[in-house]
Amino acid sequence: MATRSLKDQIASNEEAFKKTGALFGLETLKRKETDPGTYEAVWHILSNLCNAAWATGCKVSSSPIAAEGGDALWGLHTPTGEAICISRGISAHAGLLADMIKNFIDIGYEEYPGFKQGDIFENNDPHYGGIHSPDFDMCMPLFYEGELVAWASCVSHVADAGSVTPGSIGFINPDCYSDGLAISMERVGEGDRFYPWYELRIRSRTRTPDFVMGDARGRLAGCITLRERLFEVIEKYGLDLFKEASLEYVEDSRRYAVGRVKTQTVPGRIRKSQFKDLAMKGKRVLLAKQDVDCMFNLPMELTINADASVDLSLAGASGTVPFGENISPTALKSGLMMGYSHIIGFDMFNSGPISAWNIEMPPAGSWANPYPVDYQAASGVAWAPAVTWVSSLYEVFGRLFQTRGFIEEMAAGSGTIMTAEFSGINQTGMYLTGLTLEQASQGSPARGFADGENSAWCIYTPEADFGNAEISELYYPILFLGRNVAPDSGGYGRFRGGLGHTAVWMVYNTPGLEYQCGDAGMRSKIVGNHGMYGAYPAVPDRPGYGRDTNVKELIDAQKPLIHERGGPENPAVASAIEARDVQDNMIAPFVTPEPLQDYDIIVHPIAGAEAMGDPISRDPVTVVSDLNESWTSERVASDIHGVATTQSNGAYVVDEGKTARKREQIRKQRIARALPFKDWWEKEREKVQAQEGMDPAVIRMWASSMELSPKYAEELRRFWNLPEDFTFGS
Amino acid sequence: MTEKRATPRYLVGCDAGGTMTDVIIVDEDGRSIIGKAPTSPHDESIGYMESFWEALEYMGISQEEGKDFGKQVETAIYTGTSMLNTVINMSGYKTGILVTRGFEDIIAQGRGSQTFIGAQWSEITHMQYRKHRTPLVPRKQARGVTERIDMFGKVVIPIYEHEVEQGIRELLLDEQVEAIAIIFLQSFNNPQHEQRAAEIARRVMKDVGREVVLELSSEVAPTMREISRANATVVQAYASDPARKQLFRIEEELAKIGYPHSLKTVLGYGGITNIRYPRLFEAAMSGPVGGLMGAKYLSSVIGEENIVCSDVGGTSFDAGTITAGVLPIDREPGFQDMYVNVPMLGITSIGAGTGTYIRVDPQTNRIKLGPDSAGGTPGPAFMEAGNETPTINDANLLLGILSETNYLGGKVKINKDASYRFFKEKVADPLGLDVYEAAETCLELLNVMMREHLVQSLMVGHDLREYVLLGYGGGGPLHLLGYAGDYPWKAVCTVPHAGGFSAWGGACMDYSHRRHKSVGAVITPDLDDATKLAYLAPVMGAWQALEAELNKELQEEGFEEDQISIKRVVYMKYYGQLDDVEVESPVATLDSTADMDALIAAFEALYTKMFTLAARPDIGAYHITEVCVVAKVDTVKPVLRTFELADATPPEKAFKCKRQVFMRGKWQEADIWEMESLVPGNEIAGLAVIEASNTTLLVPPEWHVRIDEHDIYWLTRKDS
Repeated sequence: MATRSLKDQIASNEEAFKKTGALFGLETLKRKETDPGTYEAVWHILSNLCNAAWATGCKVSSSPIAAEGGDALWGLHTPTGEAICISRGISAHAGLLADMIKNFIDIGYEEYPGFKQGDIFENNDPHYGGIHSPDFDMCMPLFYEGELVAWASCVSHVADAGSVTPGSIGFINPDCYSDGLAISMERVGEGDRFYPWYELRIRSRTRTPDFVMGDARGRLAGCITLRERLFEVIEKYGLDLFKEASLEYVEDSRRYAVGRVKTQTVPGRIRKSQFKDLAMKGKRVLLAKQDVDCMFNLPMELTINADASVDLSLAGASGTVPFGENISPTALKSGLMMGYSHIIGFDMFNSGPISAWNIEMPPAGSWANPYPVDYQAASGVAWAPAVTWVSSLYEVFGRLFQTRGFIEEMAAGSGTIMTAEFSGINQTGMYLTGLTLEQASQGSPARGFADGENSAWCIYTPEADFGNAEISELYYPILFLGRNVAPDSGGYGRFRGGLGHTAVWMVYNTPGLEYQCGDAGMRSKIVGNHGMYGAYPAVPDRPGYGRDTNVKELIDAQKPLIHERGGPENPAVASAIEARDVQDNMIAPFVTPEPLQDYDIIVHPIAGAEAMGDPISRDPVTVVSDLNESWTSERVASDIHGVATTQSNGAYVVDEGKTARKREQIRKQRIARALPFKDWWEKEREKVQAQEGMDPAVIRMWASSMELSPKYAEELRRFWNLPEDFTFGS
Repeated sequence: MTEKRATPRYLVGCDAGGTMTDVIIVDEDGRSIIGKAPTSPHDESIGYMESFWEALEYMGISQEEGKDFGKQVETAIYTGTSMLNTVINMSGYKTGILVTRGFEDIIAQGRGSQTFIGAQWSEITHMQYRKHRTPLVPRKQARGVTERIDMFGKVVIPIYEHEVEQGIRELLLDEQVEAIAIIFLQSFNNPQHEQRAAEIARRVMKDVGREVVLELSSEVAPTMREISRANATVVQAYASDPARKQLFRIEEELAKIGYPHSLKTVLGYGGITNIRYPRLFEAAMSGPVGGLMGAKYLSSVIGEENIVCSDVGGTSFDAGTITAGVLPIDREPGFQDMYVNVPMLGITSIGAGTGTYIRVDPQTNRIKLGPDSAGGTPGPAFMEAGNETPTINDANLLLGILSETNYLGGKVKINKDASYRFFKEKVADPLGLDVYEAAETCLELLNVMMREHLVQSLMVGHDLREYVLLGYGGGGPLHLLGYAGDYPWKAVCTVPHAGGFSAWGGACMDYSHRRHKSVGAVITPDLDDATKLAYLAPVMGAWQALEAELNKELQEEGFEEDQISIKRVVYMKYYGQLDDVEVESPVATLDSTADMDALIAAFEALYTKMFTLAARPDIGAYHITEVCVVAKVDTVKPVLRTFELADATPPEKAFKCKRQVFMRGKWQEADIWEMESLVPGNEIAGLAVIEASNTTLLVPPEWHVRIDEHDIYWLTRKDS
């Protein structure tokens, strides 16, 4: 009997899923039921294989991003591409790697030139499912006794992919041609070796080719490790068991996710509306069309059906932007899959859970589905707005868990992500560009029972960590003057968001350094979330810098320097130093207008996460504890939390009587300014209809959302009782 | 121990684990007796002495008869958890830190990865599990000092001395700290600022009339990565003296029975030292070290230089490798949810042991083993001490592998019915399996977890065919052949005193000290040889400085220079990579091109072996990041006796009975043997169970065991 093509197998798998509701038509999990021990043992072994690949690959990789930050992932896939299991690392890519393999099959590589052992395939091109050019996705077919039995995959984030500006956070890219080197669904090697042209292209088209090639070797070494170990497993347990069990793991994982939805949530419809700003007007940009402020609309509607299936609608997303924040649906879906793993699918993470979702993707022509309309859209930092949807998933599911009493599973929204990227000659005289690891360790979201943790979570990688300052100084021409917890950087609530930190750098020992304060999900003009259950949102991202400073004179005179951002009343750059160009409250993102010089200062804050519950219901003891740790201010303790304090032995203590009175006063003030909903709605409706006080960026956002998603527009008009022909900007 | 005396002399080793404290007494002929008692964290001398008295009891010596036994003890060594307990119980000194200004939160904030050290992936992705440990130094006890030194050791911001004075004064007077740690960035490159701050601190202490412990990161852990260096320095300041008090308590108790010497303790990198050793933080992670050092000594005696060491305890499975007689060092291990720049033997652990809980997830109907365990208290369900969740040892009992009458040498009464009841209800029925099938399934799964830990995590880059697998720990022989599996080990073996092997290993160590120092030596292909050698000069310089320091230290402890042997190590990588590998230098100097080439060749051979040829960049640029010197003084060790080999047939008295054991899905008759009655030369074919008071060796049907002239049990497949 002739072997069916992989393309045919994909088609029949889809058919079987439609027909049975079970992936691959697996209505029973035979291997699991008949031999649960072996089933579990092989799962354990396969997971370990992926981790062994990760350990090998990260050690071989050159870049601090992979080796110190763990920003890489290895996976094992079925012949038709579904992820069976993945390593530790940046799980956001698991779905994307699965789709890449399917795509290689779909576009005909199986027929020509065919797949064989030792082939190395890569893609980083967003047009074909890549997320952004610095994320190199690799896969290798694994043949056992002549049969393609699996795929090994890997992604790693390189320091520079040759985009128009140095680095890997290409928010300023105006179009896809400026995104840098594209590996567009290519076979880049055979016989476990890269083709010679591959290295030549890396050398001529990226700014840090040794690092980029080191990462490539790391990807390859990990995939080969995975292959060799897998064959030992097949030898031991048999090919049939591997083939059958690997499909069952994917279906079992889907069932696990459905089971959690069924037992821990309630059916119904829930929405979360979020927005993101990208204020670029008047800043250093590349093309005239970029002299514009943008807003992103990120609505989400989630429906839990009676059978625990999940419908997710992302209709209403606004239009494309002339910057690098546009994302392909494939990459978006992979990010959502990762978000799901943070809230639902902890156990057996693979392609299973997401397949239980019915997703209405963002409309064609939106920033989250650009290519059908704008094929030239840039994706230099495609996930920047998209991670907001992951944060929305946290909150939406948090609310659902709360309805069933699972408060220990609740999480408020995640922090925003503002990156710092440098390029220039470093302290050893070598040109270097790359991303610091600061943003990879933010505050974690408040939980249903406790505050979030400080500097302990990152929405794009659970391996949240900012590494050591001394490692950063090895690579970049900077000296750290501070890296402390940033007071009050999390949202305020009964349980506050975990706090972020502030990196304070002094430029040092370089002829010039470009500081790119990047957008990887930042907010600067609006808040990143709205607070959950009465909490107040975390503060937006506002970095600062001082150019041509008097820091050297201050050092010589042993005067105080700058080590923190300072509060809103006393921003540190302005109060601590003098400089020709003092920027205390910059609207992110931006690139410094000209290179910074020795003794210039950068103040780069990293976000805290969102809070939960009313801040005046926060236990006063925890407020005082934060005061004593210098993690909150007297103003916030008093005005936001309503906590009055006194001093005893140099420490704050709660004044219970005054606190009770203060909180009562806050409640009364709230009541005094409150309006019945209908009154508020009527007032707001007038403003909406008149488009009163709306920034042009906001108007453009609403106009494009309504144009691209007619049903969403219809509902919007209905909610505000607007005329049927109402549009924004008219 | 090399010369027989009229009065027998003994070595006393100890391994204080999380659950049990083992004391092993070894005589001059290498015979050993082990005592066991529950660990007593509040006062470790209690568990230590209970265990000691039990061992004497096995020797036929009563407490009354043994009241002067200490006089016969040559050396008493402690391996265990005194530092750990000080940190766990937060019972150390109130400590303040003086740090580079802007880093006052360095301890309280830590770093994200410290919130998931040792966690499983499903836990890492679950954000609600995130939790920083309670900081040993709260922010309130931190003071900043303006200063900066760059990566080359150059002073960029001279230290603001007035801030030092103010900070120290506040810590002493306002915060009333009992210890101060000084941690400045890049101090490993240039300790000048830390040293100046220490001078000021000492002056201020004198002024205010309060002397407290003072530690400098450039002295405690002069290597790169400030967070780990800060943690190490704080642990030293916070816990060393309080932990030492526990050790003094043990020493006092030993003195009461006539022990005339000082108690020795084990350092995390394998080596013993006097408990008065100032850098006691190096002993913080000495718990699992004894086993590896015992294995290393064993390897030198039996002539096997590649050994995989595996220790199955009640709560964890610890493993490490000895390659070419060398134990790898982890320079930044996790310790109590902190990374510390404290060299430790490369030991990796998973939560899998004989007390590991067995559960079935109600939602997925999947078996979940651990990672938590019942420990010694409440223990397995069969102990009937409050635990109703089946454990691995409940499964071992149900399957007939463990004996109802021989648990802990028969001293503890156990109830198999309890195991059956809870196993059926909580594991077998949900899985739809027969109780015995379910129990065997769970054991096999545990064996797979252990095997995978060895093969996929520990042995990356090593060829199993070159390694002997050694199993020890109370549960080691029980599971050894399960996790050995059918992998092509060179050989598989265990020892008769497996339950006390770690304690025995503690007595096998040399007196050894070790120092690390970060350097930055880069050589690239475009340089001529003279320039390359000049760039390697800091490596030589650091070797020489560390060697002088160690020689001085050991000579101050009473050793002669000619007793001290020196080993030189570099940590090396291809330029641009972050992770380096440890290379023992084949040359003592780097004075010539030949020296340099020999070092590079040693590095490249090791790298290729570890990470495949495909991973090797052909760039010819190398980076030495750190150097290390190990100074060692040989000490008296227990003799590994050589016995005359007896017949292959065991003596009649060693045969206990036959028992039904459930294996491969059916009940099979197993021969039950008494380990204490077996002698070198004996051979036993599986299916057999060999029982001792502190362990049980399971020999499956396809395996065969032979006891060699050193009393080591070699396990081979019958068909091999």
